[in-house]
Amino acid sequence: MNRLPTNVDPNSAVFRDNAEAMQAALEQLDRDLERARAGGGEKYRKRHLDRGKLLPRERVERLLDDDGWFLELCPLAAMELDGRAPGAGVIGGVGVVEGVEVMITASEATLQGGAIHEYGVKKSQRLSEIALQNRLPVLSLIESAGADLPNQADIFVPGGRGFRDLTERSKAHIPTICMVFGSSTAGGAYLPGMSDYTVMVKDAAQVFLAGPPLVKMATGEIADEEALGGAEMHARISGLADYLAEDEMDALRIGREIVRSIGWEKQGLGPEAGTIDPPAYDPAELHGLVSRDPKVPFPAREVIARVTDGSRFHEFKPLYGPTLVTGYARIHGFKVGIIANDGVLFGPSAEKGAQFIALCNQRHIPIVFLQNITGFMVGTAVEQAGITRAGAKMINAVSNSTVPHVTIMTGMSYGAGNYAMCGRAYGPRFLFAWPNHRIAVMGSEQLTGVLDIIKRSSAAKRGVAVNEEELAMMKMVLGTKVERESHARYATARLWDDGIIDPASTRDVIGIALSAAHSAPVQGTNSWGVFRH
Amino acid sequence: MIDALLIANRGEIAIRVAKTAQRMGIRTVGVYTPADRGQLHARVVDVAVEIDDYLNATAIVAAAVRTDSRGVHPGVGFLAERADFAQAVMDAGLVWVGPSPQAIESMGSKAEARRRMMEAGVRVLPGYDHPDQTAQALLRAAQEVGFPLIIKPSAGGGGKGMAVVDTLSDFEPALASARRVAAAAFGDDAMVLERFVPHARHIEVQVLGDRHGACVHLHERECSIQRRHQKIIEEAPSCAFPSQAQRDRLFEDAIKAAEAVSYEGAGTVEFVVDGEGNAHFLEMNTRLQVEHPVTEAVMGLDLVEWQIRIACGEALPFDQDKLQPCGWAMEARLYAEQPDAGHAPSSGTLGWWVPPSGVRVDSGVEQGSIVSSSYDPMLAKVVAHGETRAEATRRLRHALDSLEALGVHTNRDELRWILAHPEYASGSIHTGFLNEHDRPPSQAVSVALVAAAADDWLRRPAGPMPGLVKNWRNNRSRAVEMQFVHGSETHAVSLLDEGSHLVINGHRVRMDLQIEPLRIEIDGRLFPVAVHRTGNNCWVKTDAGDALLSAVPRFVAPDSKAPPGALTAPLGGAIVRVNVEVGDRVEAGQELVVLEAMKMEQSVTAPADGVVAAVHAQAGHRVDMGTVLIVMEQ
Repeated sequence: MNRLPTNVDPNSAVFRDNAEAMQAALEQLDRDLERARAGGGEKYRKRHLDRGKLLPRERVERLLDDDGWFLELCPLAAMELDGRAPGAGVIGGVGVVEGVEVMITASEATLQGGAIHEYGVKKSQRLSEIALQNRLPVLSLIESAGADLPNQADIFVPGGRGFRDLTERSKAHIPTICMVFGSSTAGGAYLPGMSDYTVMVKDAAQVFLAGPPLVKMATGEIADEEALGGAEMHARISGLADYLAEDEMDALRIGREIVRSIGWEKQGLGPEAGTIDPPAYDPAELHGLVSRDPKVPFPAREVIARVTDGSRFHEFKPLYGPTLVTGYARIHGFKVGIIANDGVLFGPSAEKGAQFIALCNQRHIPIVFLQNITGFMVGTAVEQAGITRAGAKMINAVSNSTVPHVTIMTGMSYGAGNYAMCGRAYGPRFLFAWPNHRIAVMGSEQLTGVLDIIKRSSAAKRGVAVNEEELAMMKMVLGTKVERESHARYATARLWDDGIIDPASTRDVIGIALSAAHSAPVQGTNSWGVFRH
Repeated sequence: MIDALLIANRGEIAIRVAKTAQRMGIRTVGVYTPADRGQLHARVVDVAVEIDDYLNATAIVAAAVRTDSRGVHPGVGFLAERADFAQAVMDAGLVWVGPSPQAIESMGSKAEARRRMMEAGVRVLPGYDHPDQTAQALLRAAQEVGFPLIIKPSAGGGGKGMAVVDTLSDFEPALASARRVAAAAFGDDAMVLERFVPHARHIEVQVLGDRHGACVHLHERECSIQRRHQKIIEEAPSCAFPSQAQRDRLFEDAIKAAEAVSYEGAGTVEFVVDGEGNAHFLEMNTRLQVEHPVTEAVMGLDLVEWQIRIACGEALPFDQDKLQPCGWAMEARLYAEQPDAGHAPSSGTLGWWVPPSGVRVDSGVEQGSIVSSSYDPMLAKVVAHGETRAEATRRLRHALDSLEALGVHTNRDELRWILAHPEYASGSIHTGFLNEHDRPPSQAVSVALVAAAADDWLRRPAGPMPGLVKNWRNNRSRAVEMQFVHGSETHAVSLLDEGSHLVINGHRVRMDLQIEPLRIEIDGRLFPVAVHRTGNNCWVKTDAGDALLSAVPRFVAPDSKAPPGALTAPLGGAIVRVNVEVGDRVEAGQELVVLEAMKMEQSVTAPADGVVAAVHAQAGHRVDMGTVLIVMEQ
């Protein structure tokens, strides 16, 4: 395989200007993540610590192998939505415990007592989906006040899905190990109830369908909390607890022991053996490669050269449909097919994409999508040449492909390009975005321009003069709204992706995602929807 | 000349004797006990014979006969000063490489030696050497001799059972303790009392006598740096004498002493020398001394060779006047011990051993040797030679700086500290040097923690993704945390892996495990380091000294935790006494159990007032370090 050449000049003014813009965006990301890490804030953290408990993130850190990775997922979910804190009250991610790649979920107990709101439900479901698709054992660290009662209407119906997911995974031989550190009541009681293994911390776990107040309301019984749902009771009498932990550290120790005893084996092939070369070019140069102005494109091969092992890339069909770059490479030793945008999608590029997806399926090779797309080309010529027909082919291929997909939003994600390049709705195993990412049905300028044309033609039809002032105001309001709604921070808060990442870490993130995907069998398909030729 | 020699010893000295014998073309025969099977001294000889005990004279003589040995060299210690053994060797028709049984006998009893020396006109200190060993007689004698005085087992050696007594009220308990130790160690609890000379210097004269009546001295050695009455640094010559006349007087006394017992072979006459250079006879060692290499270095002679030649009947060809020392030699004894814990011996496996180059190293160990609590814990003697005392000191210090001995505690840092001490450099040394000068606490810990953490981290096998930095995070809430126990303190270490380097406790660290010898770079300073790991124990050698760090495991199962209030054995050894029973009420500081390792008693005391809840210790049993002996309740 050939090493890709580079034309990036880190000393150029453009590079430095771009890097400065990226730096500012990364600093914003750092601030956002810091807020996520702060959980419920100093006051509630202190209260939690004063009870002799470990902070939820500390539980996660201590559960993990300290020499293994932890890729936190959706850390900014719910950020700035109805004044909610980033993270949606759940900490989740893919990490290594006892050498086994697992999905870890943990209640952020310092945030409203770990109560679940609708974004918490959405995030939990996304984490659950990742675990099921990639066959990752789940370790859940529970301490939750249960449903966020004032907003129960938003969560009650969809929230029930989580318990069904648990048993679905169990049926698929994907174990869930539940460690209860505190309250896990009402519906929450079914989390340990439906897990394959439960560990409860002595004098801390409380698991019951109804706590003493509700019991009194329902039957008049005055119940004692420990007798009603204490860890000792569940370990010795009800049988809901499989293991009784002396304290929190002991619960984590037992959780790790259970993982070891399971002897989990991944079903994918895994990376190639031998030395794994890092890219020949510094991945941090991506900071200066990405344009400050989202409208200014940057070359896809320069990105690929900073993501693949040894910057090597075996390009497929380089002369045909050149606005879509396709080819084979290795990332952290994993064989991948890469599909990257290098301009607007034309008919031939889309057809090439569809063919390449079929080839990867033929060879059981996972596909990495490097998305930076303003959409399909428009105009009479391309319509007549059948661009929609070609685009449909690629969307058909993406939709039905069964090899793992990992999508990275490196820039724009507009229109049907988002679909053809395996956007969120197309079920990539993992989807991450760079901080410069913009996502919308179309760019705000196009959108306001379209509005302008429609308004003017409507006024002309009615024979009235355009109120220029009002139109300008409308355009400005819409433009600002679309601008805000297409921002990476807006998108990630709504769980349209699995997190914003530093472009320099792209190769590592893809590697971890591929490694997780290889926990399940990697199997391509020959079965597609009808292609319109 | 004999053509085969049995060496009735182990370790360093057996190897040292074998080297000379082999150079002389003599076939060497070694002995080893089952515990020592596979040790170096049993492998460097041409053939070795298993025996049950190095003190079993009958078995050794039988081994010599069976292997066609023509002579027996006793080495140092064990049977070297046992007249009956010398006699048994000769009775078997073998050459005894040592003085006559009569000379051994005379000098073996400190009391008799004192009397004979006084007769021969050798200066001795005021003291008591009478056979009347009743408590009253000794108490009376003590008052006559005056305080401070020193109690010495008459049959003893190596400092065992010796005690300095400052006041009359301390005399009786000290006497009782010394008698107990002497009875156990030498089978004889007779005591000699002698006036104790404060700030005394220990100076000795090497002598050689042949079977034809000739006797020469090979000048003096100074061995004033001692701990627990045992020498740890020796040198030749000595800077103790203001005048040559005093030195000549010393040599005269030494020759008189040797001639008084018609001494044959290599022997050492020991003197105690006061601040003015006045010497008094202490005792005569009728064997090779551990510190003989310093004399060999300055005299250019091989003392073992001359022992063998004399034993085979050769006459000494030396002209006393031409025997002049050349330069200065200095020896440091590296012991497996804990200087900070009263020099308690340390046993275990010497898992890492890199002796220095450019100096003479006499050692009985190699990497992987077991350092047992059954035998003397000396690991090696490092001997440097220079033009001047300062040069010898510098060379010795440099050699000890580079020496790497990990897996057991050693006195390496103490030796380095002494050699660097200005008082040592100025020559104002005496046997109380270590009592009078306090060694500052080790500065090695902070660097050792960094090295231990780096080594631990870098040695961990790559996980499922070898190309990914360990502890990769996209939303880092904290660095990797490790904990190490050093002594009684727990230290937290934070570590961040930046791929190109590590950040440990805020220091920028690089270390490449592939490059030997290992070096660590901390904040732009690159220096050698050695790390040796056994289980959770991490032994680290840094340029600031050695440290043992014990990694605290991340998870401890509740049932494997030591019960609260458990008192554990501070070192491996045999339990001598258990002073308490379950239910006893004890006070803080009260002695509960006494352990013994290498004839050193070590007490386990109550850390606080309380009640004995369980007793796991049993007198006579051997225990490993860390074994729970007693469990106490408040």
